[in-house]
Amino acid sequence: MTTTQTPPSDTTSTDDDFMAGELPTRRQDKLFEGITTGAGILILLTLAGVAFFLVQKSLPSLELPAESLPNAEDIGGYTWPLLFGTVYSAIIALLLATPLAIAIALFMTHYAPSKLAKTLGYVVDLLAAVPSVVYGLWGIFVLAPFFVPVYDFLADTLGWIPLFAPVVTPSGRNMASAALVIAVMILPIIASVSKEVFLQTPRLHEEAAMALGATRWEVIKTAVLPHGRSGVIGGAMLGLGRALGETMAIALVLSPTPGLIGFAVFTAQNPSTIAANIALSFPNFGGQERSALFATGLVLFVATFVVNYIARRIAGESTGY
Amino acid sequence: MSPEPATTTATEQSRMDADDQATTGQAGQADRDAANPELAAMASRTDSIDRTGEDTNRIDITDLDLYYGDFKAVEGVTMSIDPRAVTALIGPSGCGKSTFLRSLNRLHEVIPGAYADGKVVLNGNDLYGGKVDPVLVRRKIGMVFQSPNPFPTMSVAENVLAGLRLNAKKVPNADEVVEKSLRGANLWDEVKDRLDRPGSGLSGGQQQRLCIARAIAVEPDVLLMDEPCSALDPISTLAIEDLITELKEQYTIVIVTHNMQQAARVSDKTGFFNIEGTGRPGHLVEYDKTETMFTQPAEEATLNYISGRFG
Ligand SMILES: Nc1ncnc2c1ncn2[C@@H]1O[C@H](COP(=O)(O)OP(=O)(O)OP(=O)(O)O)[C@@H](O)[C@H]1O
Ligand SMILES: [Mg+2]
Repeated sequence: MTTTQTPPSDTTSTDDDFMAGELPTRRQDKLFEGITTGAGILILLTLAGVAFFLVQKSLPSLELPAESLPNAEDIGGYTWPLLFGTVYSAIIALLLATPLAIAIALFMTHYAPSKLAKTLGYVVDLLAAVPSVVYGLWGIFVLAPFFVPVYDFLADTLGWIPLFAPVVTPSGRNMASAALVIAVMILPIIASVSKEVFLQTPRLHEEAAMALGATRWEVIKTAVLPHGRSGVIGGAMLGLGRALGETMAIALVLSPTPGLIGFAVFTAQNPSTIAANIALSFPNFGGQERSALFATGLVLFVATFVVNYIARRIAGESTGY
Repeated sequence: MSPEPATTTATEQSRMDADDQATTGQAGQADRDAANPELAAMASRTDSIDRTGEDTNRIDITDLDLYYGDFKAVEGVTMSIDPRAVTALIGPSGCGKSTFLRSLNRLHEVIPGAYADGKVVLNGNDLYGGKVDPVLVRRKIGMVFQSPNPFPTMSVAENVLAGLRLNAKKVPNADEVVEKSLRGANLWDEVKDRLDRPGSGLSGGQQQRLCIARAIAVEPDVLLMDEPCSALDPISTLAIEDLITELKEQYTIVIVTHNMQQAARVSDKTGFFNIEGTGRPGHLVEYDKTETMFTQPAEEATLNYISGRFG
């Protein structure tokens, strides 16, 4: 009996030793933990710093005399049309880009032969790397003139819809062209995020659909899209984030009408956006008036946060399985 | 190569389930054609679908080779799978059971580079014939996978209807179909109060039965099952085995299993696949009545495999 009892007690003692000692890798663990925590805190501090800077710089705008602001009585009246233009152009761009991006992603993952899909993937990534000033110039000289006949046609046939109201500006430099340029710019983001999530569709679910006799499109409908929903929304929100902050392309393509809030996308009168307005007005504004620009920047900052928060909520909801 | 016993015993098999089962044993050979249609008709369901023909839904496989690109995974399978009976496929890991099973509903070829060479004939149609649409084949031949895979974003009821909704935008009498299929899968009582809850919220065994319900909702001719119980506890396993025994009244069932007892319990015939070595193609070693396979197999390899497992 006693002999049989020894081995267990042995093992407990070694167990104790084992638990008591510290693995050398634990130290690395702690070091790494320290570094990552530090990085996290640094990010938060930077963010807080930016917010503080914006608030501080924009506070004087509350007391700005009305005559120093173009077409506005106070800072609210100055910011509001710009916020409208920002959100409006971004949403149009998003509505144009998302379906196309999803289609491209589906083509790359489910229809194209693998070689073509790879090439297309590179091209899409390249699109994302083109600087926005290049897009802006391309928008002015290529895209806008190219689309003028389309605008004309839409204004002629569907002009009774406020969105398509005439008169089409002959240069094509209007809200529609600006939104199209932004759409092209955010397309790669949405497409590549969508591609990744579509590729991650569990094979099991795709095969479950196939085994029921689903065609390729039906497999996509029953397995791929439901699985990718949250990812696509996340990608779209990333795109929206970029669209909201887009500066150069809009500043180049649009000739804004200060203080305008209007839905017509083809005419020569267009609202500006916060980012483009900052870029365009900064050189002309004196020290006092610049606080107004900072105020609009703060609004953009907050708007981007709100968009991200909503995106997270939506993405979180649909991954609830 | 020994697909021989397969082809000889195959033709008589259909009367096996109509007749008394294992007790008759070999006796079937003599009166091969006598009185079979009536018996078969009696055994089969009397419903709208015509399953009355003796050989309706028999699957005849001839010289089937299966490839993954350059790699030949399965070679020269010739066998005849009996209608309204359970055929079990056993064999060591990697011998190509899943590959073979997936070739029966043309799911093998969805893997890039994978293709099949040979004949699989169901009801007079070669499934690999030039003009055959694999999508239509899969609508006739349902499949249940190793791990339960209900569509996670769909409710229990939607999962059951998923196959039918592919065929038609709106399913008339959807409620009826849902109830009937879930009853058929022995799941109705457990889920009838939560038909609109997500299918992924069920237990593993319930999910697997949900997948069976989904497969039978489209009323296929054949039901393929690839280790349907391997992810399940013994009680769920028994539930599914009972279900398989019930389902064979209507369906031709082919089941892959690693569990000898399960093969012995549920199947009427058993096919043993083996592989000579890694990199070599798997092949069908022996195919016979389950009873024969487990008591006096003709091949040494079969005996070794079976006795190895049974100890
Ligand atoms: N997608 C694939 N691509 C390439 N080769 C594959 C693929 N799937 C299976 N194989 C190969 O085909 C052979 C047969 O595999 P299969 O999955 O059919 O075996 P199995 O009998 O079902 O094994 P198990 O009992 O482990 O499930 C194996 O050598 C395997 O490596
Ligand atoms: Mg397998």
